[in-house]
Amino acid sequence: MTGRSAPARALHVTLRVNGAQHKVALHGNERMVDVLRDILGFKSVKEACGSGACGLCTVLVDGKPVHSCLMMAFQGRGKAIMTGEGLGDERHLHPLQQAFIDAGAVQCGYCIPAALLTAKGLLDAQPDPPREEIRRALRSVLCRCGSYLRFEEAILSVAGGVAH
Amino acid sequence: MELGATSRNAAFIAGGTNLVPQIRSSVRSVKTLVDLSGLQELRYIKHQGEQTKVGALTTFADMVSDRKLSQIPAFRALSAGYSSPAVMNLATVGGSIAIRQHTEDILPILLTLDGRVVLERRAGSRIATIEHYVGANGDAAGLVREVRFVKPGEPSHSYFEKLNIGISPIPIASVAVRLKLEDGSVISAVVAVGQAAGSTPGRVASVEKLLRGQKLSEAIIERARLVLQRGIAPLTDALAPTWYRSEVAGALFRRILTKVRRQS
Repeated sequence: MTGRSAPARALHVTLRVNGAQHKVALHGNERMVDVLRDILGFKSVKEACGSGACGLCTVLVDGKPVHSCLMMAFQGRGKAIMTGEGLGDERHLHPLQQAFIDAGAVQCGYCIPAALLTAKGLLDAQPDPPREEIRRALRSVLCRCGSYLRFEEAILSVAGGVAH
Repeated sequence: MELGATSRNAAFIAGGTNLVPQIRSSVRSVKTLVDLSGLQELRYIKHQGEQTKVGALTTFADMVSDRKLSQIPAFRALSAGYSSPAVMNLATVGGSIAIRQHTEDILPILLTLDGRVVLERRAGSRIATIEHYVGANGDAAGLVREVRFVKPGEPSHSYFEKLNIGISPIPIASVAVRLKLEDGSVISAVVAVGQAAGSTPGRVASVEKLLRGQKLSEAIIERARLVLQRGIAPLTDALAPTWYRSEVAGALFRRILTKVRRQS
């Protein structure tokens, strides 16, 4: 993190991100978004509003979408955290990533990791959700390109299909 | 508990949805955080007879997905109007109650359901009504451990409406109502407004009295709306002035009563 000083009284925490253990020395008041993006380098985690309104910093914590700007990093101890990097890569795209491409759901791209993780959290809990549940889940992510209908189309194309 | 209660620079943290942005934006300076989020024994929903008990660390996602609570229209409206499902996965019921402000949609609902809060202090626990706990002269000392409330009965004439602007979850006005009806007449009415007195939620006794024994005609609903508006004094802030919030509260109240009238 630019300008981040070494913690004088570090809080040593192990975070499990995308299946890998990461030992970090924290300031007690560092948020999950700061640690994921600036210390551990998961650049898919983005911050815009910093107050839980836009949802662009969404990650999965124990499978549930949460805004990482609302969570202290030390609260991630013992939990499974997933960022956009954990979904898939260029060689092995996650079905949701492929569906977003196929549906042309990506415009500026800024909110896409959050939208994908939100969709994954929904489909893991409810594999074949009705359209209104998809819309409700997507309320957690602010897409300024207005790609919600494409998101919905992509998620519906994956819903009820293979394991997510 | 001693540390959190006595040190000005210490704070309890559970969901963090209120506190973390305050720390980030330097609205609040905190040197010591007491993390409660791991206390799983405070995360439960128990239905016991006519009463429901909810542990303070129960998330709103847990609450609105509870089978029995999700059948109550007021809780369905709470879920629909909540800022976002992802916030509900973190935000706790106890944390919301402890804020004691009109921003928390759960408070007017609990006011209509005879809500009580169990508070833990060094000297032991005590139970306070939500009305006393949130009131300007209420004693809020202690850590919220549990909230208790009654079931609204069958059919569940327990409703909640709010108006907010854009993506801001902060309501311009919020209104909760619980009615008992018999042959179309109101046997009892409990009415609460999130902004009853400034930013403090409270019940509106004048309109509760007016509705008792009445059939919900259009004329009575209109009269009740005016009485409600006269019985509250919402805050003025950057979002809206007092007069506008009063008008909105009246409109929401009329909407609820009209819905009940059509159903009954």
